[in-house]
Amino acid sequence: MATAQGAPSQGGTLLGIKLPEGRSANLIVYVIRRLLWMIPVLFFVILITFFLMHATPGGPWDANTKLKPDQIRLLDEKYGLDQPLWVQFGKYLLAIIRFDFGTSLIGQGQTVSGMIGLGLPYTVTIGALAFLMVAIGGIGLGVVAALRQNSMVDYVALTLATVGASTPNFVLGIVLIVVFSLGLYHLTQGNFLLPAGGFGLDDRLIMPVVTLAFLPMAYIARLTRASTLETLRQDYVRTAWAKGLAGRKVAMGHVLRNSLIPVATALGPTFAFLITGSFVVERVFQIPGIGRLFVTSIQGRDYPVILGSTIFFAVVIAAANLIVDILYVFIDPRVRLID
Amino acid sequence: MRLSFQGARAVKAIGVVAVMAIAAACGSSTTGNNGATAAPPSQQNLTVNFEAGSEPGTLDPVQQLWIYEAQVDRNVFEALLKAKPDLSDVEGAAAQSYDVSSDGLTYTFHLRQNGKWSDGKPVTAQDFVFGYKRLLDPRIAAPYVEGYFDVTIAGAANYANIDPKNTAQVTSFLNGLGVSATDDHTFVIKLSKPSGFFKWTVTLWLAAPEREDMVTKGGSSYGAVNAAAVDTVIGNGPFKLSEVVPKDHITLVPNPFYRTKAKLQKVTLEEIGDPNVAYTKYQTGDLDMVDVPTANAKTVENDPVLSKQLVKLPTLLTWWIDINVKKAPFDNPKLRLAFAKGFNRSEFLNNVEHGVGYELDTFIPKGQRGYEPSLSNIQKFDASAAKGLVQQSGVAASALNSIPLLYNSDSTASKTASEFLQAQWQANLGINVQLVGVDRNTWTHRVHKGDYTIAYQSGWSADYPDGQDWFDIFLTGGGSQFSNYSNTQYDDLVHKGDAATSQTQRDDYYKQAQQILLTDAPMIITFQGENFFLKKPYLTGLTYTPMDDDTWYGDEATAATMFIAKH
Repeated sequence: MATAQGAPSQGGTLLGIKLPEGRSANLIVYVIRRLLWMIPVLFFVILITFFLMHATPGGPWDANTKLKPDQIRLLDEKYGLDQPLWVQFGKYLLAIIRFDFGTSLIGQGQTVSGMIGLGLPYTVTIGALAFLMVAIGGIGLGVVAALRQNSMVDYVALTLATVGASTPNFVLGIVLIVVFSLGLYHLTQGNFLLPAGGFGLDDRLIMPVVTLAFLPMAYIARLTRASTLETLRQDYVRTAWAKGLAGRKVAMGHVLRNSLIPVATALGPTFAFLITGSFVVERVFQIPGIGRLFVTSIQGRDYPVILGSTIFFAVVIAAANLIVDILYVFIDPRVRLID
Repeated sequence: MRLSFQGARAVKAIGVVAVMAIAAACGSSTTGNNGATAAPPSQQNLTVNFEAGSEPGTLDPVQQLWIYEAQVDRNVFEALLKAKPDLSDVEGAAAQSYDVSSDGLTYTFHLRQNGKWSDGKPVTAQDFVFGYKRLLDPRIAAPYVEGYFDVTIAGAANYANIDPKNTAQVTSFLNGLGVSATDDHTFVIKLSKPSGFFKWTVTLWLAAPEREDMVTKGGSSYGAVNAAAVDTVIGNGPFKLSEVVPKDHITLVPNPFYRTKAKLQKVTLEEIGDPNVAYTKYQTGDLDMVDVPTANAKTVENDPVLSKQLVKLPTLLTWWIDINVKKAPFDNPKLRLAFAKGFNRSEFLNNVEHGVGYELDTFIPKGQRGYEPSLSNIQKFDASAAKGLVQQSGVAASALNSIPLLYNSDSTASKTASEFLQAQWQANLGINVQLVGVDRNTWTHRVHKGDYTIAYQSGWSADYPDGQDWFDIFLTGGGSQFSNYSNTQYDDLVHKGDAATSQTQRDDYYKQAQQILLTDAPMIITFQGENFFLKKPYLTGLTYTPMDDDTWYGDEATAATMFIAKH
């Protein structure tokens, strides 16, 4: 394994893409290294979050009520908030090593891991479906628009992408509900098409998924279009045409594969963004997910929930970036982790 | 009191920002349709949104604070007494009757012989002893306990000085409390001094009996909002928990052992965070009652269908602007009064609150004993008098530059209101205040610490319709005022009003106190709140009271008797 450190002359780096060649175990070593790197990253994430959150004015007991100072003292003692910050920080670190993320200050008797565990399936289901829509819809629209540049298809796709990029999801969510839930309810005397809100593996998924996916889909579509147009102008594409290859072969074999490299870079963070949930979408559509949990915990200064969610999000984002880096190897022939 | 902020009202505490409200007329009103035939049991389902669109933080009654918590537990548990629908007095609830000793110090409650928990076990006086001791246990640190240790129950005054980690100290404190069971159906409370209002204190939902076996079974997570609560949070009220789905909904079904079995077969409380979505879901038939988002008030009033389903209900909630009387230039009472008289309340109500609410110039709202229209003139809008007061105050013009008005920037309504006030004071007094917007918790934090000059806005909503609940707020050092207000004459009158046993005498003391308070103006009254909601015509048998404050309207008086009519 020591070889994984590689000789600098060969371009081996710790965090860079390129690693020493000629070792079949290099990918594994690379992944392990990246995973180990997450420990200091997480430490600083926790450190910064912990002290920022305590530096923010207001505390969990300030939500609205006027408690007497003695009552606040009792509450602080009950939850250990009376101790010096660095003691609280140390205790927190020791606890999370044992995977004990504490209990909520607002949701009495509820563990943070339990709260995240309860919300996660809802958020991941909607996020994964939205990701499918973003990947398939966004790339599809972008490629078609680029191949038929300045055609009707292109204009429609561009318009859609522009509208999507400039419509906030709290507007889109409410508009969808008013049109497809309330509007169709009035039109059809109650046989409305889409129920507004609530979670279920049925047509209730449609509106939240569309709302969540619309903006990133528009972004991916524009990115794909631009990248495809650029690839179309490359010499090797002209060569392919010159060789007399069929249009489809050129598009699939030469253009698509190369134009997707920047798109893949964007899809990683997009995936992390989608499966960590959206406060707005979850609030508008009454979905008990973790996006809502995170924002309400900040508003309520629910310290353990803020920390637990932040750690969770940091892990997801780091993992998504790692996956993208690994995927590069397969989509970009210029990048090599393994020989 | 319940409090309010951004549409959410908490019980006891003061509200912060925003807008929802109440106004009161007197007494109660009952919906029509009383001759209606009930729909079959399978259709006896009521679905409403949680007040403020938020699920409870706990289902343990003694640890609750907010209206969206009370709206579950006040129907799952039953306290000793409850308010009569017209709020004129209390009447029996879990206790059939009560006696007060001639010295006013001993209250004896006679529990109903047939009182049962929802699992069929009898409710005993020992269950009340357990519940009250739990409420006053410093290790629990109940947020709403103040009214029980501060001025009332014997032996409780030391509550705040107990070290919760010292078990021996805690045990001896709990054993010394003046609560006891003389037999299975007789619960006795001893007070430290006579209190004319104490009968109201025991009507609060959190002063509930609790089951020691269930609290033990639930352990540290007793009351947590999760599926297990159905098996451990056992109450004695008209309903019981049947389903708890965190962050989604809570379902109640009738307690089969309650003395009058509830007619509704299922009550679902949904957690819909966005008020506009809830409003839409009412229109699609998914909700049976809904608060109208203030911005839609005019639309509803002009809609031929919705206007017929609109209910406007006065409620015991007064909103005001806080003034820090320790901070110059507002240490000058004349200047405070000038600001109070310096803005047009009727325009405020129409332009800022979309006409939802009632004009009010006094501290005690309409509908509550102690409402004194004769005191309206003190803070009533009068631009020329206000200008005169600024002159008389003798405050130098330079001290009136850029007075900061702190508001909650999380709430659009709060911002709009602050801008309105800024313009009014500029036009009527020639004084320019500066708007300072901060998020909600920061707002509360700064106002609590007295780190502000003038702040928009707080509110008080009655815990129970008695003057003590209101006037104690502005006592010197009062836990619920943020104004640092102190006036010994006022304190003296309020203490006399709290202790007196003759109601007429009490009313008189409180009236004098209110006059002083409005003149000293440690706060500027803005308006009285109004419940402004839609109700499906088939939901019937409801009696509203000015105490109704959550999204399940009519539950204070008629939770067990309302029903769905054939439609």
